[in-house]
Amino acid sequence: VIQQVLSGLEAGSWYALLAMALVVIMKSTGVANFAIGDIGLLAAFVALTLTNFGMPFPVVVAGGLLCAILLGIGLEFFVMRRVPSRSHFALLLVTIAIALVLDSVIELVWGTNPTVLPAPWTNRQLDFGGEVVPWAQVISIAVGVLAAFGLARFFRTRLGAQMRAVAENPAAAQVLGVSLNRVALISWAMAAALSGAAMILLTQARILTSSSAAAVIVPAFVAAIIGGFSSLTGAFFAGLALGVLQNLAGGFISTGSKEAIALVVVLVVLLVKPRGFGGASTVREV
Amino acid sequence: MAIAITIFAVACGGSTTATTKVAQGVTKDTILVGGTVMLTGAAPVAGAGFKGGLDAAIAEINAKGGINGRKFKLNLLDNGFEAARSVANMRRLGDDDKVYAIVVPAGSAILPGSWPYVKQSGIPVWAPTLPPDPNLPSVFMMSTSHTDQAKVLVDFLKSKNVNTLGYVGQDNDLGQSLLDGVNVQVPKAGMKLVATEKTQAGSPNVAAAVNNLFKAKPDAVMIGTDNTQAGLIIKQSKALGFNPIFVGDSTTASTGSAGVTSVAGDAADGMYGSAALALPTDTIPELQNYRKAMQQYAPDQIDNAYALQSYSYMQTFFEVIKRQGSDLTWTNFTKVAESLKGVKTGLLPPVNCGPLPGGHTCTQGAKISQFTNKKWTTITPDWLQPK
Repeated sequence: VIQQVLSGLEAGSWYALLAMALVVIMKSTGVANFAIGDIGLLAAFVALTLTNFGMPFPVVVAGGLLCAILLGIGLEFFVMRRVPSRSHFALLLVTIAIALVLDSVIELVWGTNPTVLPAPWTNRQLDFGGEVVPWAQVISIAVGVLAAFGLARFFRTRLGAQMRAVAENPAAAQVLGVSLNRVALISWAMAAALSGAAMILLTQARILTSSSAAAVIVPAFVAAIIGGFSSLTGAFFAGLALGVLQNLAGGFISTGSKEAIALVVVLVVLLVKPRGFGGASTVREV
Repeated sequence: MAIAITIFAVACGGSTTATTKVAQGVTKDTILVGGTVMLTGAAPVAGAGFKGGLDAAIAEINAKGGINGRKFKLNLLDNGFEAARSVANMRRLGDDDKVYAIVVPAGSAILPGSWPYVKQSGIPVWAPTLPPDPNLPSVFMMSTSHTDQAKVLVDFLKSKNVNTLGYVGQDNDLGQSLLDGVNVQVPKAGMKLVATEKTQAGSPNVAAAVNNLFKAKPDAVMIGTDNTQAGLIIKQSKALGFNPIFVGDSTTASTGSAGVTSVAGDAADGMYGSAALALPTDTIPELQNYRKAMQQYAPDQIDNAYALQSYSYMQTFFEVIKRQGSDLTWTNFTKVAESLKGVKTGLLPPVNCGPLPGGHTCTQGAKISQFTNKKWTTITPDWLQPK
């Protein structure tokens, strides 16, 4: 059971990081970003390329994350803010288009063959009193926790407060001198970095393919929905819980139930608590 | 349907000669065949290999003038390793593109969905890789079944003093076929099956199954999944410090190619796979023609075992076409194919077909190969039969 829970927490950390990336963008720009997984996946492929050039792992990670951040900034600056319609539905469709384009770019540049993103801790384990725990799991969980703490603290800073203000009432925030464009740019950069971290962690533990993002985007959305698309804490714990739930179901019920669990959870949450846990009431025009 | 098409074609004269009986896809100088392989999706290494072997075999035979004056054309479709696309491709090839036969369609787990269509249309399907034998009149299997390969692998593991076995397979026909072989052969070999885990086809999430295998700690683990999952299972087992002997059959270990090993990385070193045909890296003389053709027409796939597989299967397909002579009806195709006995390519076990039931699985036996130092090497020179 312990190993199943740890494996679940590992997968849950990836979901949580991606879910928090979704929430960061939603909080500050009101967009459900369907491209977030692919932005991170591109970072993982850049990391692979740097690895193939013989770069040390810290450089590989830094390069991947930097690429994700630049991509996030570029997409916000050159695409999102230039969409004529500001309706949430239009912007959501644009993110789907971005995801499809990024998928195609990845397939064109790196192909469709599954490959491995090696990490220094690959095949290394910790022994906790006879319980073997792979380093990969420890690091995934630790990064997830650190990111959650870091984000929670960030949203208490002046800039974080500006982002929350924009999420609450963009017009009022603008009147008070907050730059909506600047906030959007920073939130896309932050979300891209979170996604990059999630996908690098995921692909070093599993495999790196052009379809790696597709495997986690649904659970990430489920976690974000449970958090009401506004609570970072809610999204974080929902991601972890979902990972554990899926793994326990896979281990003790049937593997077929794993994928269904996410959909059952979101259905239950929408029925019981439509605004999610920790979600604030918001009226949106779509 | 075949007879109706034949009558129609002959009655119309069309592009056929007056004395030739033909089915769809055949003209006086061409035979159109179709294929559906996974050029994209979860197993593109396999798809690229299948394509390379098909291209080379057809280019080679065409360069020799074809068979009985007819050259071959190949219409190859991408199934994306998805069952729905595979079914759609088979229907398109048969109903829209009007191919004469579908050759070496690939995807153990995704092909069975097409059997109702094949049964209804009667279109010849040559050497599908490698679903369980559907026992249909127009389907001929050129590879040893998963069940028989699993039996050979169990016997081999016994010879390596393995006493406890774990099994992890997909929740589909592929996984069940290998498990059937395991369930029959493990008691015969005096071994014990200590874990049976299932994975969901297409899912990259295998952690639950790996954790349960780890808990059971078998001496060896047989894998009955697609290549990506197999690689993930090996990789995640090693990450846990769990190092049993890993084995798989020609499909699930992608013996001779990089389908599994590219995913598992260094963790795959030492794994065993059964092979229902020679490996491209073997040194047997029968490989000369293959290497020559691949060098000329698909050099980038020359060392891909899937290329050798499709190339080898096409040699037996050409043998059937040759023996059909001027009667290229589907009925005669089945009749001639069922009469193949003792056909030796050197690349496959001897081909011995017969009537249904059971006679359309035309080869038996397998060799064992091991992946070490980043390459597959055949370690049992003879075709082993289950004991």
